[in-house]
Amino acid sequence: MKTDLSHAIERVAVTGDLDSTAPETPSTSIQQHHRKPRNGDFKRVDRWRLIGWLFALPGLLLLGLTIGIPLIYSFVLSFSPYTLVNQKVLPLVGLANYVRVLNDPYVWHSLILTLQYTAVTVLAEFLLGLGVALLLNRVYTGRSIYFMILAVPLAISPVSVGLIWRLLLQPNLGIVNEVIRSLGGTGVDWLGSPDYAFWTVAFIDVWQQVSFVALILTAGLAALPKEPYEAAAIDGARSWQQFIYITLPMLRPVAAIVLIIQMINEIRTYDLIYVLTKGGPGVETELLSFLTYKKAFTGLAVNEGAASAFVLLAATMLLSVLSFVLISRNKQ
Amino acid sequence: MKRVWVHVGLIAFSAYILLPILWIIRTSFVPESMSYSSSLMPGFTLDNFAALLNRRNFGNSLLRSLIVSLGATLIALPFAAATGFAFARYRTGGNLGRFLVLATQMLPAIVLVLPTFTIFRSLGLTNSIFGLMIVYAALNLPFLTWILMGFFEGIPVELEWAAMIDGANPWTAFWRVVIPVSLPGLASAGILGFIMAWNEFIFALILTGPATATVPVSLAALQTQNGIRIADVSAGVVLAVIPLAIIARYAQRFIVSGLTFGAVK
Amino acid sequence: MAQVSLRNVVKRYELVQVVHNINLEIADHEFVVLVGPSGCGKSTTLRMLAGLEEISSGEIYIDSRPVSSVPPWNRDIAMVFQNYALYPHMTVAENMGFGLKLRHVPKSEIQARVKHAADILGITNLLDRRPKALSGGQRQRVAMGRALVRDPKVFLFDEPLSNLDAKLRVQMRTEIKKLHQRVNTTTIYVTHDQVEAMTLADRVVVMNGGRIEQIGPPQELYHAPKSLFVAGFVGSPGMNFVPARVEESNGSLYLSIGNRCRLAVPLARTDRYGPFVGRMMTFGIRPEHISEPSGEPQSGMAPLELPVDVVEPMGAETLVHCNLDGTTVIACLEPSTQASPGKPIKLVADMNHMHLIDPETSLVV
Repeated sequence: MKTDLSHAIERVAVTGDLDSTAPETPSTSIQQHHRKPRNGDFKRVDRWRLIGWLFALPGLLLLGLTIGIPLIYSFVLSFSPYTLVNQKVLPLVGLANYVRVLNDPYVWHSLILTLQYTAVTVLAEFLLGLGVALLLNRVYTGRSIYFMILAVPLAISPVSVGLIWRLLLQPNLGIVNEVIRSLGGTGVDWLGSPDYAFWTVAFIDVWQQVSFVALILTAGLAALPKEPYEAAAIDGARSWQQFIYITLPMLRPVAAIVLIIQMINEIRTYDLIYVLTKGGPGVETELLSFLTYKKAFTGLAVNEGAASAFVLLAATMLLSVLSFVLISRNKQ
Repeated sequence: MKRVWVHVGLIAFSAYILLPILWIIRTSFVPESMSYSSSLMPGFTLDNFAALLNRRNFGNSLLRSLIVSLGATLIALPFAAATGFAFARYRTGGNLGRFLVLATQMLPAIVLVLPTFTIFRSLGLTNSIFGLMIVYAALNLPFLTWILMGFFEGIPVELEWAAMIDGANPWTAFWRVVIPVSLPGLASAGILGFIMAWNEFIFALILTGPATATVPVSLAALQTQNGIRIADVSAGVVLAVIPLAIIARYAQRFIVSGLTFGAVK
Repeated sequence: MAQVSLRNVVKRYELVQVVHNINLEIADHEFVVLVGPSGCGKSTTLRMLAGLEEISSGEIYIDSRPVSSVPPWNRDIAMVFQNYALYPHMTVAENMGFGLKLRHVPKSEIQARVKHAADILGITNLLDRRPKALSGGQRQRVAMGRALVRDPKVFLFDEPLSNLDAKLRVQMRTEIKKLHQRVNTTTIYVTHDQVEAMTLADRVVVMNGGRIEQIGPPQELYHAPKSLFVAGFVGSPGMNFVPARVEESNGSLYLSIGNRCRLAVPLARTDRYGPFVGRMMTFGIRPEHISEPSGEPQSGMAPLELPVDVVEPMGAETLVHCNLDGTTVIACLEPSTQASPGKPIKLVADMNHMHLIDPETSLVV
């Protein structure tokens, strides 16, 4: 990338201003033409390439400045003695933070918990979302109203979602337990009991995120061509057969994208935990994002926090690559 | 006959989505002493909203969130448009560039929040609305770039060629032809960017203090050691959603098209 | 107005070469059509002329000024695209005036020139509409108006009629020709439709596989194609090609097809075809040069008797598909013909219009 840019700039230097109306002698171009050998062929760097970079550069610079630099700095911090008490980056301490983090049973607990949480929520969102999308795809009247209702949770912040459900699930006075009691059951401490907390948080997350999955899958279903269904119907395929043999295979690219997006989304769940349980009871819902936050800001160990953040990032990347490979291999 | 069951299923699902929200709206209009009552509408009052706005300065949080989200979106949009345009039209950076920009979306917020906090602290940018605005602009940038890239790819390249042959340089062609044609796409991207900034929590939690808290931070602060003040919280949740409800009312099609653009097309 | 020349123009992407060494001189006021099948490099050539694609080597001159380093916005050309590429957010008048506005032409003059061009094209009543509210033919006119207003050195047309239905296409074709006769601007026109090429062009450039096959006026391409490709591409229905052996007896040449069919070659061509005696060649003859015998046999007319497969009445003529030693041969006959499928028919081939192609070089000899 860098060489392309430098060549393009070189060309501007040779031919003068981009806007120059002055005719160039052909020899300039031919010299230029011989400048960059590639695979035994000669390739002229053209003005379009440079123009593209001029368009792209401001955004890329802003990205580099605000995401690239913090990312690198974070990486450095993960090798440093930096804590909120001892704010020194140097001298670096090598892998010490990573060793400490990887020997910490709480980190392992959180990592495994995070993977379980991701698997449970993404699977539930996908199955429920697919069901809703299939239903939505079959209605015409009221479709836009259903869409509107579906979009509501997406507009609410996870913090608000957490608060809404905390009020509903309040153990003594909340409406959910109230209803259960009036039906003759006994109330449950949904967020406070170790048996329920994990599943309750997952349920609330699914409640909000299923809309996104359903929306994308509905759009994906609507974009499918109609002809295969007509052909299959003529061939006498029943509707469940059409679903198995036509809908599912054709929907796969969209489904794959939605699964990956949601996986990346769920693996970093933080807001809900902060509002609902703060990781409790005990460490029953202490997902890795939240543990990292605690290490850095409650435990003041920014360096260990950074190391544990990179463990989370590594897990995210590993999972993404893995699912990507699985999906593209299945395609063939 | 079958169609009826489809509607039954969808109505059940809609109820599952809507009932919790309706209950909170109901609670926000019920006097605080009756909040936990299980009767449907035991009285009606606006006191909860008044209390929240007066006692807790929630109005300031709303205003700050509005400024930060709007500012962040307006900063991010031009950058995202230009970069997305280069990616779509000039294939700048090739597939690798596209992938890298999208990959920044994979970064867990916690990875970026630590270094941003330490950097901002040394720059004196913590507790500042402006600092948060820049962060949100940056967080929005990859996503908006991606959406707009998809939109630009849908515009026939001949339109720009025609403009260039008419005498427009690439910038003029972009500004006078591509941008006017892309207004719906810019609206989609802008609205989604605004929503994301409006609802963002973790950066706001760590980079702001009590005097600069945004809406989600102020909401989260309503739950204290002594428990939640249910009337305040429900009123706050309702107030936080109102701006988005207004947007949804007038720009629903932009939201849906924006959300589905990157994934389906 | 200007002359245009392309010298040794080459275009390659990475390792694929799509245009090979194009040389073309276009005179002032000339109407030149680049024609060929899709992927033959004609559109790429046009885009290089417009500056939308850079040339990999060689040079393009407009009025003897080399332009390879001049970007499209400074080349003073105008182009009409297949999909018209009208600016959807501007009215017809704004669409047509955009180029002038960018050049800071005074408003009153823009208005006058737009009005003038609109009058020529008969779209004055559409000036306030937006492209969305126009029909295909109207959009086509606006696209041409946008080019016309600018009064550029060169007009470029990239398949401008392909999106129109058949009837409108013929009508607009005539209008383009009229327009050129009126404004006389040097025009380069790309199409895959050989009928368009033949009807519009002063000179036709036939391209295939990134190379120029032949350059010439329409009649020359029709009567004297230089290669198998041009012979087959020009004319509709296309030329018949039959494998045939060149034979000599008594100083005269014959084409021998299969076991039973022998066609006499006109004496005038004896010298030309002499060197190929004994070789398998490709015999080419146009459908319109095969007819039913009438009156006395004339010189150069070779009789044939062939079984009929299909009869296609076209109105003004009837196309008859016959079988000549396993190869389908189409004859273009009078509508009064009695030909019917399954029956043999007596025909004569006008050998004065025959072509002989060397299958090794694919060139007409």
